[in-house]
Amino acid sequence: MTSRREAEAFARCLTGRPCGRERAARYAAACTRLAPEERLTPAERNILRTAVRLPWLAGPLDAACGVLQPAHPLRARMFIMAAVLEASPEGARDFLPASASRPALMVLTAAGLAKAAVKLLLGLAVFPLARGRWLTS
Amino acid sequence: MVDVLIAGSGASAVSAAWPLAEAGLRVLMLDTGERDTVYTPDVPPEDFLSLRRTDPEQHRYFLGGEFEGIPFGSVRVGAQLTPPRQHLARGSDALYPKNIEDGFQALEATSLGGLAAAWGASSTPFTDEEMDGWPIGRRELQPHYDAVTARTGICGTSGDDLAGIFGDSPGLLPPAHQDRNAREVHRLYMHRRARLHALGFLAGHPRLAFATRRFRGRGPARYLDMEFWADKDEAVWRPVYTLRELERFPNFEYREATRVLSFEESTDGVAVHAEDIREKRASTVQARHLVLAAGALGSARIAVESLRGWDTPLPLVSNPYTYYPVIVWRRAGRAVERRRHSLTQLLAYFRAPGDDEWIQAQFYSYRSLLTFKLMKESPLPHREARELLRYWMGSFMIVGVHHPDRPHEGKSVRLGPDGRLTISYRPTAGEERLRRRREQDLVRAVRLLGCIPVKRIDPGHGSSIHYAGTLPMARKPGPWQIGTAGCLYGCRHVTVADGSGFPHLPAKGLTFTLMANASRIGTLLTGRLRG
Repeated sequence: MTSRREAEAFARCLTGRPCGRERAARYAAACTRLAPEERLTPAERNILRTAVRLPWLAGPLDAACGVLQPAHPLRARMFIMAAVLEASPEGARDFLPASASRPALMVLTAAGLAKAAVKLLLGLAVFPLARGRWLTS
Repeated sequence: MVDVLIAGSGASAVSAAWPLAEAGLRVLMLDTGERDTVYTPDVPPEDFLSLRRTDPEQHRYFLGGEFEGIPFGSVRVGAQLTPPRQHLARGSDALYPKNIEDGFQALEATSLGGLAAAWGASSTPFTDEEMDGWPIGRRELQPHYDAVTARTGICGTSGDDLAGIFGDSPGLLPPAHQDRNAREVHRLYMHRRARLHALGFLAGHPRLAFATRRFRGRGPARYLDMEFWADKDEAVWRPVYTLRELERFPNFEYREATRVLSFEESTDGVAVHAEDIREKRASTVQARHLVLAAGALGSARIAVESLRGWDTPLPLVSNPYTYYPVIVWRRAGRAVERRRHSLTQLLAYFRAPGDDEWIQAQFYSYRSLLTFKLMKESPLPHREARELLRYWMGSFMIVGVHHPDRPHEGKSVRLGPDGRLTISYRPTAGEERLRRRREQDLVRAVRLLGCIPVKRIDPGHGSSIHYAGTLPMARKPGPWQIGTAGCLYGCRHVTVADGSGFPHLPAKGLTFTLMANASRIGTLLTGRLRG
């Protein structure tokens, strides 16, 4: 069963805010339907567990999975949480198109890519440890 | 006994039915007739941005009750169908079983209105050049293009660079408003027109079955950007609207939850065997004439089953389809407008010098299909993907590219005695090479329009959801062919009025021509039955 803690961790990872009880329940129902717990391998389960217990690693592990295993259940569940957050009035402001001047856009893009690169490096470093349950045992 | 029994309720079926019913003939239409009763009624009649900001129930229709609106796995045919439109193929796998070879993904509709219930409304006529090798030409179709225009409401213009391809058409509604992205691309096109023409690139306003003003009880479009979810203005034409008008004729009857299985001809008519799909009860209807309009795959099934042609390979054509997400550079970071539509914003045709066939590029702006679906295509961490997409998404367009398709031995459908359709679709290496080369040349022209392609996405064979050519039309038809009036070879009382008869496909949407051809066949049949 997908925990409320997982939903909150992923919502914070995606938007910096908690998702609340209703959206957490919706997330759990969507996971049960689309990415159920029973299909996880032990290594996948360990990665997910690490991302939930050490939420500051959720972003780096997401980045590492994006490169190493794009179909990893962590990516799948982050994707589901993004869908759940986006389809709500509270989440709309985090997903609807925003405007920025050309220079600001360039700065934002560069900053975003730099953050992604740092997350990726950290994620690649911890990924083998997280797979083996070194970080959560 | 009815005069005419029509199998199907899609664009071809209602178009064939119209002249028959209008002439007073007794017409019975049999159809599986699935409808969306779950989501569409729940969508408030407001624009996309307002709904996103205010409707606490939006997850019901944006994600679906079973989360069917969250696409999982690789890109697949029909993935673009939103939850309110997924009724299109409800129960289809059980009713129409298939063996798929070579990754061809076929979508057979069970919905009221057939595949046209989710049609993108692009209404482009075929030219004589594109119908090269057909036994009929534009001259035979033109009065019916006009009749269909008068019934469905086609918006567009005859005053831009696509006029040569479209030809003139009386009764066009005013063109749909272009959004800011499309206006920017169109502006650059006009600025670099001579250079683009030299490359073989033409662009202009699309013709769309879209009621830009009040038309036969539909519209006018309020540009809510919700066309993929629920068209509360009834601005985009759907077969159900023509069916609604047909039902006003006392001599017309529509019967849902019924599918046609086969037919048997007799001297004075045809016995049509059907099945009630809810009760699983068989029935037989006597008719003077049967019109097959169940789609290229559906009509082929019925014909083969009836004439016991199991395992006979029939030809199949389907426009190869690819799409390119592009960034309209000058629009990056700019604000988006509230009022827009989700259909084709700008239409282009491309034919490199020396090439003898056009390819078609449809420019859509991406917004109302939600941001999270784009996040899946990005290798970035989800948070950074979300943050960057917010600023870049307003400048995103999708360029959908259709290629022409011609039949050969590698593309076929076969119906087995077990009722399973086996689809084999193997383009030749030469066809694949030509397709890539044409796209590479097209992308060069697209860059001149200030669009930066981000990725090439090939959703696989069959992804255009354009299927045709299973019972091709010929001037002197042989087995498994139809004549120019749609008569199935070897039958006196069976006519085929859908895309089964198209010998090959140009790089265009086929629905408008399906309707015109069905109207032509319905008119010819009316004359024949009235003696």
